[in-house]
Amino acid sequence: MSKGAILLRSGTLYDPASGRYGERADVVLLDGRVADPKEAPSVDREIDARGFLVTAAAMDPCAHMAVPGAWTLCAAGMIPDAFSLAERYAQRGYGHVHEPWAMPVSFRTVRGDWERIPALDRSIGLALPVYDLAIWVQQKDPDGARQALACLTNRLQGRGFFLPEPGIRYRLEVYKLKEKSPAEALRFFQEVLEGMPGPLVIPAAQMEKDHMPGLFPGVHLQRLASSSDLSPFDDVAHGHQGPLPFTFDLGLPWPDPGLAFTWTTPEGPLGPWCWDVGAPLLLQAVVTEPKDFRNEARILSWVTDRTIHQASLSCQHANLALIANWRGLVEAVVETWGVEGWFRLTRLNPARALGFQDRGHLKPGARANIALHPEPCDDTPADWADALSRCHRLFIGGRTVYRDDRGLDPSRPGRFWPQPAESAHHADLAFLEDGMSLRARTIERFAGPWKGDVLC
Amino acid sequence: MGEQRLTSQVCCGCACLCDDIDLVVRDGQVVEAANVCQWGLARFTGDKKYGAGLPRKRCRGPRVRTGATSWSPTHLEGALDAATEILAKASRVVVYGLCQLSQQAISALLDLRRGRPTLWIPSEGPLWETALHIYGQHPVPMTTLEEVRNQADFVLFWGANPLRSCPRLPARYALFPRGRFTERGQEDRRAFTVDIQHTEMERITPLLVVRPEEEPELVAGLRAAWEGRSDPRPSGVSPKEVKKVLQALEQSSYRVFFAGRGTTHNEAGGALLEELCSWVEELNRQAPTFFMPLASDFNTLGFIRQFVTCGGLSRPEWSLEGDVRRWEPRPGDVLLSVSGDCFWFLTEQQKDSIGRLSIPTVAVSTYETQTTAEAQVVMDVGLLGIDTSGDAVRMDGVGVCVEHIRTADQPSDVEIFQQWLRLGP
Repeated sequence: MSKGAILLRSGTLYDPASGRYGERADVVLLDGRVADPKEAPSVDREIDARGFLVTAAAMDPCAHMAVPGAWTLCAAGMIPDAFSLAERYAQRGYGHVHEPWAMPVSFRTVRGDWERIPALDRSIGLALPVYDLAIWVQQKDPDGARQALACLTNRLQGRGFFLPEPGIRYRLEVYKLKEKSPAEALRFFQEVLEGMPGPLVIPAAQMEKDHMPGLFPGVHLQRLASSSDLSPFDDVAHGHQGPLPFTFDLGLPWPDPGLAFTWTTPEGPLGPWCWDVGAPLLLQAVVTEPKDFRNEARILSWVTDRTIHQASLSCQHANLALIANWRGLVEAVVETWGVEGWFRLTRLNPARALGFQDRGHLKPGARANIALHPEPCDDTPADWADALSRCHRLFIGGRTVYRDDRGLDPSRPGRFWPQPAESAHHADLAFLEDGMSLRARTIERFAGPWKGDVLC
Repeated sequence: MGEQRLTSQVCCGCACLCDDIDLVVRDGQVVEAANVCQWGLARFTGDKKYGAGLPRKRCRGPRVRTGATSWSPTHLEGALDAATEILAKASRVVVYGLCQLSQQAISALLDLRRGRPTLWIPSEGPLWETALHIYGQHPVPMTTLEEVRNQADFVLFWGANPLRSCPRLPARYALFPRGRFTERGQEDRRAFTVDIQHTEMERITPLLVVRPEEEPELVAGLRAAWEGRSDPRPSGVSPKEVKKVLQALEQSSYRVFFAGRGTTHNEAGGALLEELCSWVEELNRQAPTFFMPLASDFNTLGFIRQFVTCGGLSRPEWSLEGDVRRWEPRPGDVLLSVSGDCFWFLTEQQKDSIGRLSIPTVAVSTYETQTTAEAQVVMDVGLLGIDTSGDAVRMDGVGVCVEHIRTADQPSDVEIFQQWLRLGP
């Protein structure tokens, strides 16, 4: 075995990807990856994992932590600092957090905030006001749009593309001619996003019955439980053979004080002003409503043995680290969807939804993001909740970043995903000048590493 | 060195951080500049802000005071050693300026003072300190300047004169330009200014002049009239003017309230801003409405953001003071003035106290100023966007990367603080 190989000996594996639930086995971590123990002749370091669950580290697919203006919430004491957030994630066995959207104009700032989050892996999705793609939409030229988006995501290291609603709608009468129906728009984006990393993310609350035929594998619906009506999704689920043509995260209501970032205010929707016109900064922080998802029959009836293969865990809260009663939530989820459901919802499914083939599982070649939890005393939801709500040790890329007796090691920087690409030149970004008024050169400069924030 | 044509440079003249500046640089000097305002031009050419053609005197170099009027030139390391020695004896360091540093330098400086008693006084403090406190009760959303240009059809400047503080704001974003949904430019927008005096703004927007003590009442009155609780007769301004504002507000679909330094120039400033934010919050339920504090120094929000997000407000050893005139010098204080002329703003009483208590001053400055004249240790620093590169945050929170346009002898601000950090406290 190469130098630096770590053997996790005799742990109890829980890995939905390989169907191993409770199997005692060794796991080898080598060069930041999970390696096949049979092909590893020697070991550099051995960790006794007896009495511990060995699982892939969990992923939060919808973690808003650094939206533009969030610093005002920090000032108001409503969001903890980056270290506390990261430590909470680590305590819960989370190794990767994904921000689904940041606009090009604020991408650098958002990324700066995310780079302050120590130890964990991070990725950020791109939200582009659709009017920046208007030329190609009008000319029905998906290749042009793909080239533009690829260039932008390469330079900014974005993953996935956020579409605020399935159609393309403009606010003013003068732009009516440019509007595209959801079916038309989704077809267009299916072509545009083919081969690009990450999903097309659409808020589930914006989906209506008529939009469903436009769904395709590669669409990720955000916060399903925030939809007032789940019947359109029912129709798709019942009328479709095989896996659903989309993935989704749950956005579960949970009676825990916290913050939700939302497009609308509780008093009245701002919808007509929000979409497509590049106003995502309207995202507001509101206090979450005290609801327990176990009392919401519509959610319970929708997430079934079949649909759970496409579901990921998220709550109505801005991110999972903001939930204070984490143990209670784990118990509720395990009670509702079982232990296997928990591992699917938090590991395998979010990784698949975000297009990360190398995480969320323990197969050889996977990135060595591993969480060790104590084994539960008994097979009850309460015992599982005890075990799963306190991570014993967290590895990111094969290195220990958290131990329950030492806390989070802030000296271990997390990794931004994907890695920088050098393929684009600022001339390719000229299309943004019109919509954003920032010069393409400025956008190109965004691609450089942001070192401007302090790691206090 | 020859001639260089540089496009899309960033101007650090004000917090607009315009990124469309095209320059011709000959032998390290800017000889032509396009898209630049008067302030920006003065920065690029090294002239005084309001004195076109009058060169501003650059800092002579690192030096240590040896007597009342005598100095000993030294190198940066020597100046840093002397400054470290002074700071080591301090019971509290008062850091003034901050808003004209790069993000990297602010980061290093915060690191340098971590765990040590420090009073932070940002040069744009009065407005932002008040705004920070108000965000606790009214976390009103901000928008980007691009969205203002594209969408805003109602713009209100309160206690603000952008022609003086951010000269290109009206021309590039808030008033005149054509935007995606404001295709007719100024014709698609209704803009008003409220101020306590007549300013140049009355040439480009209707100006409501109000007495300082009546400002909070005016907001409350406008608000009451808007909600239909009273006739539009707030004190200080005519009902006709108020009606015009309310009518424009009603017809608008995207509103931006810019608050300037003027809002905090009197005792009622806090109440005024709180009332404004509260109203913005209320208006936001009907149509997108944003509150944007205007900053003149280019990286004001950069400092505020970093200070807040690194937990600066809750650190027991640190405190934030908005107004330098409220600083009460005490024995054991050391004044560290970074990229700002602290002595220009101090009262005579404060200057007397500094002299009486023998409070030493360390200055990090690009130019010769009153502060460098009074300082015990002076370090010269390159000018961001001219001599050095770094990051800065625009007034709306957008991070911008600033590149240098010539090779300079002066160190960058981040080099100074990082070197200082290596030396220890």
